[in-house]
Amino acid sequence: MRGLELLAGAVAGRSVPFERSRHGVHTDGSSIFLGDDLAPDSEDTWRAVVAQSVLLAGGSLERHPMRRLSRSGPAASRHYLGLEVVRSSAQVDHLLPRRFRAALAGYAAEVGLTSSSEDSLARALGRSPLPDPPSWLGRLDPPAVLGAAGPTGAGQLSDRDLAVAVRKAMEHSADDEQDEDAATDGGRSRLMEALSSPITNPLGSALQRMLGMRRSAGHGAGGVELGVLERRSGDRIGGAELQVTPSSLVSVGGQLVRGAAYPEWDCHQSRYREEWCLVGEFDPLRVGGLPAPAAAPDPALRRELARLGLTWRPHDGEALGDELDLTALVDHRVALAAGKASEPRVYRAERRTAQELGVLVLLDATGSTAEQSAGRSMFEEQRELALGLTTTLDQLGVRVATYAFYSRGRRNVRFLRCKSFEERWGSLAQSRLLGIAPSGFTRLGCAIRHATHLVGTQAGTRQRLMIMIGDGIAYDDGYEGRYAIADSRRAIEEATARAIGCVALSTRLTDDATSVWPQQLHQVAATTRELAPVARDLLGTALLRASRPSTVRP
Amino acid sequence: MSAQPSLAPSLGPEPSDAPFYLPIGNEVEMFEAAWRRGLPLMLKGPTGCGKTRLVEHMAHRLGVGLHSVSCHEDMTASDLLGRFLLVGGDTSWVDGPLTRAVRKGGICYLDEIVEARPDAIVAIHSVADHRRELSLERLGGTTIKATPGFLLVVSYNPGYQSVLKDMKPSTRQRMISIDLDFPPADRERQILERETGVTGEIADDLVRLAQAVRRVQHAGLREAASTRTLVAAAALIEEGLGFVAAATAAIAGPLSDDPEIRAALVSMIQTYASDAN
Repeated sequence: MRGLELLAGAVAGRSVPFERSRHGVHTDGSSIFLGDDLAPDSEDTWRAVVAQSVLLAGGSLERHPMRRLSRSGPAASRHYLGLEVVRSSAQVDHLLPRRFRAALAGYAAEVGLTSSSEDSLARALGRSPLPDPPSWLGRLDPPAVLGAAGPTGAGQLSDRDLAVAVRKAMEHSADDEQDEDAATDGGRSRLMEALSSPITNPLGSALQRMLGMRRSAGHGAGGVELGVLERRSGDRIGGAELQVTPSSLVSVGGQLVRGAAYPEWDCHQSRYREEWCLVGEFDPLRVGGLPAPAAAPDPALRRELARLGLTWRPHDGEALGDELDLTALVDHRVALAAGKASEPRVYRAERRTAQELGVLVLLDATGSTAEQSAGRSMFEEQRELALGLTTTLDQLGVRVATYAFYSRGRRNVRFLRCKSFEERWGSLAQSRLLGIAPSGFTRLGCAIRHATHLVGTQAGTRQRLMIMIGDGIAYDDGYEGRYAIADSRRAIEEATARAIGCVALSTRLTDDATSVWPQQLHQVAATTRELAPVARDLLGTALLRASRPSTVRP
Repeated sequence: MSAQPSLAPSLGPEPSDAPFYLPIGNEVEMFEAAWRRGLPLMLKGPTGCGKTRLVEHMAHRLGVGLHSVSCHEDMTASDLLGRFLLVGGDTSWVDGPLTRAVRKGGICYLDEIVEARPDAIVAIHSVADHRRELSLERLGGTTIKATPGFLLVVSYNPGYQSVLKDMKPSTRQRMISIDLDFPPADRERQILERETGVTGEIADDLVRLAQAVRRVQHAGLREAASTRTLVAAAALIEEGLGFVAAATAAIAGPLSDDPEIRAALVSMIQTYASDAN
């Protein structure tokens, strides 16, 4: 988080994302846009950020004045901006930096205080001359504010069109599910059509890359919901109650399987979309003829994680402790009376020896990880890391489950069960993990929600952890960019609020992982050996944060 | 419910050497009333808002002893009630702080009670309801009636709430609750001036900074700029340190080891400094 973002969030009273623009400072009513021409730590920049945040705090960007101003000239918008900054900053005066107030004081004294945004509008449009507002206030762009209401953000019509095209193509490929080759080709050609539009879109290359992926045999594409028997609202942040109904059968990709429906956080509307995503659990296909996996725990990793998640358990016959162990005391006295040597180990004490850790290892099996480099795909590295980690944790007596996931749209998020908490980590479970091939897209927030639900309800331990292994790219149909990042972050916060720690591991450094995961909860490690030196800190931090949600999370 | 024998029908003016506490609402009256009636108190509020100071102030004002216990996650019932220790060939019982307060009267203050292990919390039940007695099972089931003047006070930070750490309804409903929060800007300014002697403008800058930080929607940051950390920052400024250095050391530094958040907070502190030092 940058200083300006923190400042804007403090003044606006809600979190304000920052985006880049060509020049100047303005807001679309939810984000603040910072021009590339500005020095980020100059006096004018932070004052402009405060001014724009004040507009967000004071309700200056209502639809009516914005509509009216978008029909008037730039002068009216500029005057409205000045008058509204003065009016709204008076409302939050008690928390503004004094240097900001001092800078605004001259102009504020000249124009005086308006009584409401409508009053400011009338004066901005009126005929009586007004002094020019200071140039450092930034600018007001009424069409941008009006355009930002939709969930895909302002001025991103092209992206929305693209998303619609992608969805249609996906739906179509779902119809052709019976014939897999035809479905792949059909879906692909339609997508290519959509992507070959003249708009240069950064998604294009990513999508094309994903579509070049291999599909895991037997998993149909496209999800049609038949009926949802389970509904989860997650642990809401901000007071809304938790709704969990027992039983759990959903129809994902035409199959009735165990699963659940989850909400998704819509950062544009600042609310949840109820029952937006559907997750189903599947068994990965068994691939015959695989060599027996060489799953030996990594000794370094094992040593590092040995004390993790241990909690207190009473022990008898201790040398020091809370209370007397009467049996031991009597034995001790009897031994002395009988003339035998005896140590006075006569107390009961609590010692940290009870293994109370449950971990769900979640492997990102999406198409974006299929990319080859240096002879191996990122997915193979990730799968190996998942195997090594599960083996080590299993050896330590940690309750561990291992799943992989991918998605094809919000109604078709698939969890592939390699090992449930109850299952033995034997060759069957290991070969299931090794049989998984990358496929599909990444609805990251939903995957985190389901994984934390599983670990929360099935681990049965006091300390709970979810370890995601993936590249951190969140992308799915109607799920990208800021929306996807905000939802994923929200899901991590929800997990923390449920006292479930979340950690992400990537085998290679990607920008995307760092935009979703807080720095302290993300680690690049290609192998268990690379993971070992940092493992205790990483997982311990996640557990600590989860046990004390009020400690700082970025 | 037996009434407490009051020292005086109403308390006179506050003794001048009492620990300073500036009331925000009716908490002082509420505390006093609860003490007279022997009703256990739960003080709720963010860390650093003045819960402990209120208890110290009231103990002084009511003229009773104060037995403070900082609860921690390994604290057991015997840490509160007492235990047998082996001395030579014999065992002897040693009272815990709660037992001492019940025997002698005075305020037993359990700070951050949710941190304590559940068995420790359940141990206060019998002394927190109409029975007002402590049952020491390990001392052969002895029960001790609370001496008049005994008051149980617990503090609780709702921000710490989690699935693992929350108070049971059976504990909660034995208490009456006083909700505390950070003081409003003008009161907080007065507190800073009184506690540290900083002058108007610096106190004003610190309070503005705190008011802003508390609005940030970020778990943990809100409590970063507590009244306690502001007092510490103001004290450093009085000792001759610059605003940015003092606020960084007292507010941003202890808050987090996360360099990103720390840097963001430091740059925010810089914008609230009236002079660039």
